[in-house]
Amino acid sequence: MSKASQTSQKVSSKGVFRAVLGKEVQHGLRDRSLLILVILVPLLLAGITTLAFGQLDRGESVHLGVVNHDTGNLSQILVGQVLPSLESGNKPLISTTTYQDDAAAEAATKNGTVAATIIIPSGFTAGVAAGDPPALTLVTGGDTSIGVPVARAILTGYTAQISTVALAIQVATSGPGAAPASATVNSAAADLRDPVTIDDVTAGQRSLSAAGYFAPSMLILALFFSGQIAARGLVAERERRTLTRILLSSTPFWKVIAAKAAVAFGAAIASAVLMFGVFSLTGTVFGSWPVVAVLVLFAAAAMISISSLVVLIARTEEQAGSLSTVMIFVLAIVGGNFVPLSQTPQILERLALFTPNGWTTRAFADLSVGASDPWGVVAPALWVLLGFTVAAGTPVFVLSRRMARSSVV
Amino acid sequence: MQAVSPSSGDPVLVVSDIVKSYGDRTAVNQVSLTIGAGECYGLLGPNGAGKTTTILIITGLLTPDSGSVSMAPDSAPVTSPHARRRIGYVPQEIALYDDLTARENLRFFGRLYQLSRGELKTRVEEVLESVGLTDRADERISTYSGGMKRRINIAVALLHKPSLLVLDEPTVGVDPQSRNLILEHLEQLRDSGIAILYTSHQMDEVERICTRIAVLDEGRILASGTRNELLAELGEYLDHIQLTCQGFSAPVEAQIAALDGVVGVKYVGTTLDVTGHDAAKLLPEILTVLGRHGVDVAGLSVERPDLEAVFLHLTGKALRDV
Repeated sequence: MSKASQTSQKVSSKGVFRAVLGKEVQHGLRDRSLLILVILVPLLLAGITTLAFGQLDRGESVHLGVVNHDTGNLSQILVGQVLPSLESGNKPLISTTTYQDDAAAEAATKNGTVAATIIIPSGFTAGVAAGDPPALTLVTGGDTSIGVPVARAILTGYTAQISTVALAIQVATSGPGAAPASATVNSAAADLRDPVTIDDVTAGQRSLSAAGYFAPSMLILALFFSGQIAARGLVAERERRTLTRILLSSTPFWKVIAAKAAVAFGAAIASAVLMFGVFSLTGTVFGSWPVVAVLVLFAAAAMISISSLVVLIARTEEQAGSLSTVMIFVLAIVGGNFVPLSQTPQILERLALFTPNGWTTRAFADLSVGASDPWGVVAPALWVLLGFTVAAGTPVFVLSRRMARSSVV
Repeated sequence: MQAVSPSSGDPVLVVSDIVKSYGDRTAVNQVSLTIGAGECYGLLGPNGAGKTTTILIITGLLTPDSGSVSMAPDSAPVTSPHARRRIGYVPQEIALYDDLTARENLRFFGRLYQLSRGELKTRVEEVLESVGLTDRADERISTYSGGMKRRINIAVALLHKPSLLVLDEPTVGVDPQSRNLILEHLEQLRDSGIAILYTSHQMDEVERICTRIAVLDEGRILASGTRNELLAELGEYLDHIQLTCQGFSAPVEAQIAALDGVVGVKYVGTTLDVTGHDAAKLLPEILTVLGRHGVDVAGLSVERPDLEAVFLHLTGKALRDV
């Protein structure tokens, strides 16, 4: 019996697990793969999401131009009441600039100073009273933002009510003993309501912000990227034959797998913590933190299992990288990580239920709007994620054992 | 059952009738061998002869269809962790982590063999010293030359002081200087009492360091023994010494012919041809005779039958052509 064998009893077998774990971390830090996955990717995803959707959530007001050639009551209702009401409040929807002539307004629209310009023609009120109102003009430039739809919505709501006024005038001024048109106009104008009312889209007690939706989506991507570490590391060990050397030392294969999975899990959790930190600093609300933490753990386990399965099907490390990238993006698209499922065809909404992304995204969305029973809300997602973990994890175990055997021949 | 030769030292490894097939193809066919302490056993054969499969079975990484492999002295089956830890394996590939330093690689593999902290520190320094890379130990493997990587590849296998060192073509792609260093190191290890199983298709390496050699082809050991025992497979094999000299005479020819081991002497023009057994022993004696008679030697060459000839004789094909 060699001296090494004699001394082997001095060291706990836990030391072997720690050795593999330590090597994984050291190797990951040295080749920077861990740093990229745990710090760079989450920061990039969180940063891009915050920049892209945080702006939307802050509800920056739409800047519109107004030219009023009319001197009657009805145009005053628009420029003196409707538009100012939309400019007021904590989160004003619009701001306006009044122009004296059409050319100046059109120039301002063209150069982007305003998103669109509303032009009220001369004799508008009189035209309504006469039953032949001239058309309101909406001048739009090349702006593709939300400004034009907002302006159009304001005008649509306003003209709908003007049509009601015109009808009322027609009824009131016809027949014997009819009231004068001007009196009817004044009376109807007093009854006009704001054409557009702004309410937050709410579900429960709080609104679901764009960042609140896309932050978990980006988190899921980060979890998938981190989840590949274990299986890709195993494929690399097989290719460089270090796996053979490890197995020859009588290190149980499950310890190799466990150490690699632990590193992948740790990387996934670390990236999640970093992303939560960034999003929280920018005001994104996720809901009950204990429930969020459990949801992340379950999601990470599912993503690690699925990405490991894809990687282990590959024959080389290069092929594994390509396959897993395709898998990540397909699942992200189907699972609604790039486009909210509510805006996709119904078939995609249904397909999303076959992805861990879809369930995780839905659970995060439900949590972020302040569900009264957060555990109950995420329970179905947790069960499904557990199912994904087992369904993908079982073949992963079988494939990795097969890999261990094939690594020696 | 094929040839089982007695080993020079106490048996360390006993392989009995191992067979391994993949479908219809038999990769290893009833191979048996015994390796003793301080012995270097060479497995000589072309690519696909079954060398690597034999090695994987011997290291316990592959299970044979039949037969057994055990480690002395307790006859522990090589698949047991206990026995496996007495084996050091040097794969044909550079099985190291490029982004880690040599010392970090050694420490990692040493920890897998569960060396205690103190012993690990000592052994890492010892093996670094033995392969002559102490001064480069803290540099990443990716910065090493091919030969340096090969030396660390061997050092890893020696960390836990194995009683059997198994090397699978450890000099592939190595420059001549590093190759010589590796072979010198293996000779030292052999002389220190470690049993070595060495596979190669480089005959000069096998002839240099192996005390016994098995010729393997198509999964079978065709012959095994010392170099001279294998050469005996050729029948009456003779070394051939050729000298270019002036002033040769009949008495000189008679004296050379009388030397022990000389079979024939022929002198044509300025060329003297001597055939006989063991040129290494004969050559100094011949030169002494020539010198005594004032014969000037302008040139000499020695031709000895080699393992290539043995392989050709046994298989009907040249080793390098397969």
